[in-house]
Amino acid sequence: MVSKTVFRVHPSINFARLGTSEEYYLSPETSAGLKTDDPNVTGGLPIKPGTENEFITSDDLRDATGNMKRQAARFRLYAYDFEAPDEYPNGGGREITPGDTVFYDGKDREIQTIVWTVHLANKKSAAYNVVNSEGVKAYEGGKVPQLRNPEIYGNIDAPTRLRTLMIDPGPRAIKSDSQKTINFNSKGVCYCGQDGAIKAIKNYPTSFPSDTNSELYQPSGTLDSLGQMKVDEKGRLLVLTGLGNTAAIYDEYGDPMPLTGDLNNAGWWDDGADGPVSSTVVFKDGAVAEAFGGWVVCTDPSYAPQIRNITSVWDDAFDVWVQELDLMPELYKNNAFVETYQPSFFTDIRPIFAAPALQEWTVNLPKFATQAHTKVNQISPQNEPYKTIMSGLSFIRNPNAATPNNPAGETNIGIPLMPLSLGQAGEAFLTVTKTQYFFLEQWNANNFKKTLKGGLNGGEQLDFASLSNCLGGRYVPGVEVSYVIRSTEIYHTDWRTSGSGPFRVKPQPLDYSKAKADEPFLSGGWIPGHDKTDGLQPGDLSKFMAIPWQTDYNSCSIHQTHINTAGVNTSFGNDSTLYWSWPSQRPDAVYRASDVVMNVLPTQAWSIRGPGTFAANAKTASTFQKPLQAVEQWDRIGFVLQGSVIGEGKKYSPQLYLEVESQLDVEGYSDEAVAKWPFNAYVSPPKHK
Amino acid sequence: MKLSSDQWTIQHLQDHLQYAVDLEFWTIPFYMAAMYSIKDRSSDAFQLIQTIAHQEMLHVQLVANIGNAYGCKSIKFKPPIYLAHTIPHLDFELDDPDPRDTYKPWSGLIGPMDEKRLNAMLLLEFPLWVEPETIDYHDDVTEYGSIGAFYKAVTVGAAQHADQIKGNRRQVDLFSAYYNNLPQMTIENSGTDGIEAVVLLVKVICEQGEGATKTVRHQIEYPYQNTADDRWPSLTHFSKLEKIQDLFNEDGLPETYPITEPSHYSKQQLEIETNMLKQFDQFRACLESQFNGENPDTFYNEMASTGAAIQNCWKNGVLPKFA
Repeated sequence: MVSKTVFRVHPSINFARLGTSEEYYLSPETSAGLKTDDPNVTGGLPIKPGTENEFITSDDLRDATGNMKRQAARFRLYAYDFEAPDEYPNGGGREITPGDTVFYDGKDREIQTIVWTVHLANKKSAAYNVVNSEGVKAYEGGKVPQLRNPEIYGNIDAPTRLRTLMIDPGPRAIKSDSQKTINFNSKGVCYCGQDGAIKAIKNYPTSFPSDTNSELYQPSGTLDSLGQMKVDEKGRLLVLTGLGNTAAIYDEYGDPMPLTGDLNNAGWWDDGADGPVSSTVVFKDGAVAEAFGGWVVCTDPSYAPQIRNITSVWDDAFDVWVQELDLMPELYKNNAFVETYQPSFFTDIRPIFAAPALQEWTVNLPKFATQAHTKVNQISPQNEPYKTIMSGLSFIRNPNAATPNNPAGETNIGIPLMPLSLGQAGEAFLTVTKTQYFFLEQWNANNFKKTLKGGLNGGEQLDFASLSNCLGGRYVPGVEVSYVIRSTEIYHTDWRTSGSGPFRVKPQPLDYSKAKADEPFLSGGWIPGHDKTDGLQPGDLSKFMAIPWQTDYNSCSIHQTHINTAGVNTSFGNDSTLYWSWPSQRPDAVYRASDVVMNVLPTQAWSIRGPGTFAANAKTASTFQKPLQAVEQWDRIGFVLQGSVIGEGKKYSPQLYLEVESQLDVEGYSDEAVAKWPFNAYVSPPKHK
Repeated sequence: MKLSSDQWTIQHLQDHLQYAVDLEFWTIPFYMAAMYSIKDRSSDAFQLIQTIAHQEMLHVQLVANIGNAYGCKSIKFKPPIYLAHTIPHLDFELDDPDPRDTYKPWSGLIGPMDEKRLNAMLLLEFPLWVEPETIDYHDDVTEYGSIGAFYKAVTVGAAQHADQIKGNRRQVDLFSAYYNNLPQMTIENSGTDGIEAVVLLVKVICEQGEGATKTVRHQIEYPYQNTADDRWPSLTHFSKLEKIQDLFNEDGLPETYPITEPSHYSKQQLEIETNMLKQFDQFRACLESQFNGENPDTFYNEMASTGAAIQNCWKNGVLPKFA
């Protein structure tokens, strides 16, 4: 087959993060907890705006008024010399910007402009409930969970529901040389046509909560936008979130609708969103080329960006692509991992060993755990595996242990197996992915590459970095994306022949010329396991997340394992023992930088503390005790950053990761003591006879 | 020989406490080796033994703390010796009834979880069958038939020398977070003010394990129960072992890793065996250091690495070796 040039947007999936400031920084392009070019800074840090890759410091987290800055998702365009079948890693590709010359369709052509189109939507309130104990199983066998907001009559596609419950500002397009900031509000709907020109859509049926509600409770500001977009000086796209606003209807007594739980609050909206990012290349000679687009998710702030998840979204996506989408036949073939495959210590093993040592900065680990984690972190490729603390994989929960007689496998075993955090829906504890475990097995068998060779190209590295900075494994429902990231239906599965490359969400083709003012343009959209194979619409990833997101972030700190298993303790341990929900992504216990003296650590403090957080029962520690407070004060929570990037007038060791910029401390309000693990929920002692 | 109470010297008490350390320490490799031989880590058998092994570590800490409070010059962690029909300092002939008539065949050698190992564990944890009306003291600790009788004697001897208690002397606390309902695991007060804590620590051992009496063996009292990681916190060691015995009777023995005949070990297997010995030596040294006033920063890692080394032995067909 003759090669041709294809264009791909990278990262294939990127994340804009909420804040309350008009100011912003850029999405990280390094991977949490891993080495960077700066020996004093580990990966995962966002980037200063206007720079290629200069890390932010603690001074960049909030603006001059104390508002939390947003994280813009930065997208770049890459050109690939493509010849089917494609391989992964591809190893090729180069970033292109206006003015570059590209060999396209038989000749060299200079790029005049790049037109970016983004369509964000928020379908959370119109979607189905998140079911704690079921996860994706709630969609199996033709079933679906209950609808959110069932008092609005109709099925998932009912126009009345969509008009009332969905937030859809419609698409927006921007040229790479634009100086404007485009708003995802109810005005200025436009998109890029096939000829590369931006076309306005006058009749697009935008919808916001205020369209159908004369009065709304909006504690932090009007929810009239899902964000903004602009381009940087090189024509790359920046997608920004809204300002973290929420809205609720009033009940019949004139009160805001009560927040009755963590996941599925009726009568509420937030400004999380997601949608396709398309890119059209317009050449000086008039030719036009359409790139394989990306996807943007507007989501929670990253409160601890350098703390690596032991299993990240990357690990889950990679696992699915390896096992189900033929990503690397040299690694997985004929429904089995290839025993002769040698993982790389640095790219495949090292991330798993690096993550545990970072957990002590966000949760209340006891000394024995931090010491063991440090030992794991010190393992080098030169160490004989059998002489290390990881010998025999004694302390790793095996994800392959399930049998027909024991479907839970090892997911009910707590300590000493790791990770010691809560598992996915229906399972007490988390496991690493099967691919991660295979890599560990190969390492344990001394069958691995000890040198750093090859690796990912620029665009592929961006895909990896973006996804690896997000919470994996425990999608109940998760922080950035949910279990649907493991569904092959959401991706371009023909990646080997189409030129799309892997890890790319397949957008449903949308014909904007058919938009009608009185009819919702988007439908209920894709759901897993229902043979919907025509791709995803805007809002089809974020609709599986909690509504509003703040109540879930607040709640998902510390739990008994039975929260995952329908209230029944299935673990080999005391029912009252508490474990962390999202230990890397959702700081529970932190070290305040202001309390550190000469790099000596103080006692830990809860991340969420201060008035309104006193927990009568340890199971609600580090939590706003009233969910409404979470909606109102999520932006006051501090960030955990490496000592080397903390300003505050003191110098800190890069070995420390400390909390900065919290606005939750109140003078005179005493801290609640943080107990080291194991700690327990309060349960009544047995009654004496 | 039996001693009268006025013949029970502080040296006798210190010797008894060192013997207690010997015995508790002896159980750890024995239990851990059997536990890691079981392929299915999620089996009740594996998990039950694990909870016992964890409590044996606790018991080592408790008797070492008592020994230090009574002025033991140093707590020794000698390499444990595993012989076919010997368990340190216990003579089952003295037990009434003699449990060997019930639990046979048995073996005190390191090996996989099988009938012999289970019977040895049952013998070890065999409760004090009859609550004695009087407490006998012996100058030779092998003259005790059960650990229950042994600890009964220690308790009374400890009370007689309460004035010798030195609180906060080399006290170690690694496990109190696992026992939220227990007031303390160390001896903080000196002299007779410290005796209640001594008695409490002995009581923990007796309640949970070897010192249980028949009448209470099915239910550990609430304060002595593990509050973190034990599915069966109210069961004594003996009851847990009986539960394993029931499982074996119902479902057969658990599948264990096969081992290679040592004379046929490959080079790699020999290296793994050597590493096991080295690792266990490091662990012993670390324990000794821990309970003799040092604060080795490697203690937890040596403990974890020992478990890992044992697991790795079994996975590679090597019988774990500790001395």
